[in-house]
Amino acid sequence: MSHIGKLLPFLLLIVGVTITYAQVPENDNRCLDCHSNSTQLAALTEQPERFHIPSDFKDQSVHNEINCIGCHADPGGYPHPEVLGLLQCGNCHKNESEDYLSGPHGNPLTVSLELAPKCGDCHNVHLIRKSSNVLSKVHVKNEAKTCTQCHEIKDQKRNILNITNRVDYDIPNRTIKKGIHFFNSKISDNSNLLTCSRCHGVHSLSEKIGKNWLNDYLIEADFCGECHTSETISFKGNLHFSQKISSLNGNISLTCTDCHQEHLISNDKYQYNEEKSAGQMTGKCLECHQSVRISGKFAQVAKGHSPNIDSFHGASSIGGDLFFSDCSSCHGIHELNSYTGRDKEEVKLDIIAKCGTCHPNAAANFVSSPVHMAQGELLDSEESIARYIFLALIVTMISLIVLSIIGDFYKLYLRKKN
Amino acid sequence: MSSETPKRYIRFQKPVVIQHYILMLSVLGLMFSGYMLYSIKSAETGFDPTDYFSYSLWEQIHIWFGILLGLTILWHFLYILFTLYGHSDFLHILPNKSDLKSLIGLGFRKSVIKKRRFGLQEKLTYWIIGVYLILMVITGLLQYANVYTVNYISRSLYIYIDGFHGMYGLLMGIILTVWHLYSIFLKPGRFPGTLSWWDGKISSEEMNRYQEARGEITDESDTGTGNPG
Repeated sequence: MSHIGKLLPFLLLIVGVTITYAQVPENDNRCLDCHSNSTQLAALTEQPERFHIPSDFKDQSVHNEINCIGCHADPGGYPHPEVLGLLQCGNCHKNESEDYLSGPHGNPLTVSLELAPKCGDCHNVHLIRKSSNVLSKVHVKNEAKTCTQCHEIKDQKRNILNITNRVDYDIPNRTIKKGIHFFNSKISDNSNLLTCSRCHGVHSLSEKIGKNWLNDYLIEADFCGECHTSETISFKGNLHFSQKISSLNGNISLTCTDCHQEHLISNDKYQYNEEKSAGQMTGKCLECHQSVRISGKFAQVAKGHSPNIDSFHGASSIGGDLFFSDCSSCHGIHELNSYTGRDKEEVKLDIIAKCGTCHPNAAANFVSSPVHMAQGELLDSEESIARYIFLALIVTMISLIVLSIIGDFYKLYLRKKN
Repeated sequence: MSSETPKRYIRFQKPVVIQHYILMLSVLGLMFSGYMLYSIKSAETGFDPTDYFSYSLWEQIHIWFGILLGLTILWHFLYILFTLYGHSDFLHILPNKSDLKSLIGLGFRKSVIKKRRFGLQEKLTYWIIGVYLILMVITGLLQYANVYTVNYISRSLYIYIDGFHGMYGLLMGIILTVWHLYSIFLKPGRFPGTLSWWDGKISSEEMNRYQEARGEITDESDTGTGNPG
């Protein structure tokens, strides 16, 4: 007895611990008895799919050590109370919860509680896998699809148009996947794919360029510069990025996405959007440079540039040729050479060299003509005179032909008369 | 040989007929491809030829038709220089005093017209279209070698070259073609047209009209009445 008496507290401890730990699976099993049984659920509720939980969900869930009432309030017996209470992920994930509530997805000022995306919408409710798991909804390969559940405007209640009335938030999944950053054979490591959260952040959507990006173009350039270092260094030295322009333009200067777009950043070097044409760069530059108002604001002389479609270079590029000359051929892309204010002879030599890359025999006279024609400038000069001469020639030709035809008929008349 | 077969007399030699065929083909091809190139550069036409071919390909098509035209003109020069008929025809189509009289008489002096192998209108057509085509070929070559051209000529001159070979050239070509087609098919007394462009031969009726037409007989058994020019 004495041995038993000595061992009793120890045995009781073992039994107690065993019972305590055994309760966890037992409780979960009690829940799953009904919630993993579709037939039984169908008999108990009108929404069996909503309450169905796969019996093996814990095998793959990161929460496999938490039992049901770790997240749900204890429902007691059946029937359960009408409302069990909201899941409180933030009880454990405090930082993520705070970020979420401060960001556009969780802030009640930006989105109603009913339509707001909740934790489970991105992470799943029960089957919560690690983000490194390729089956996870937040795995880099699945992230775009998860975000476009709402951000792609589809015929569903919870699409971004219904929630925010902002069409520009419509980002089709296919658009993202067509972009170079999502599908790039050079990126062998999935973790380096540039998906939504790499730019917009995760919970608060403010880590990178999601927050205040409109007012802080530096953030965007710096972010792109993490990988595109040389381009960003060149870009930061050019006029588009200079303080002069930014201060004149309400602290908003051109930045990477103004030319490259945000989501569909194409693999094609010259294709800046999904249009077929290879001459998009010219069109992109002319969006601003064709405007006399904008030119006048930023340049020394208010002079809107005509589209180079009037030249062979323009026609060739708009016509779909991949070998062509556009704005970047002389001005560069990110470094943006400017010829304004430079010595004329130096500029001339520079332009001859630029032209010479495609036209090896170009000489001084080749580049003596004005490069950019302001709107209406051509019509006031030689071309206008040429046009009048040719029109006069054509009118004369037509007149002579008409006279000749009249003569033919007059001869016919005389012949018949005689 | 049926005696009912209408007699047809050779007016143009085969080389001339073939040259005319190639000329037709190349001019039509050049007009079409030229219009396509113009449409790419101008939104006025409301038509985008790049739906079918790129600018470069349209340009290549235009260049190859241009080469065909250039070769035809070269052949025509050689034909004039080194063949009897070509030389003779060229001498006949050269402007002379009779043409001046005819021009002064506005083409109503029948006695002058009847003695010639080519009428005033035919001569005008030949020389105007000939000069026009040669100018188009030259301006086309200058545009093709634009780097060399622009190195040596002024911008103004290049604009004239560009204008002549471009839309205005196309318009002139269309006007001349319409005039030429009128002369062949619609002109009073010629309607519904002659088939001389088809095989180089003319009917008896046309033969009588062209007093000086070459009278080679198509059927050797037929003595014919033609008068070799």
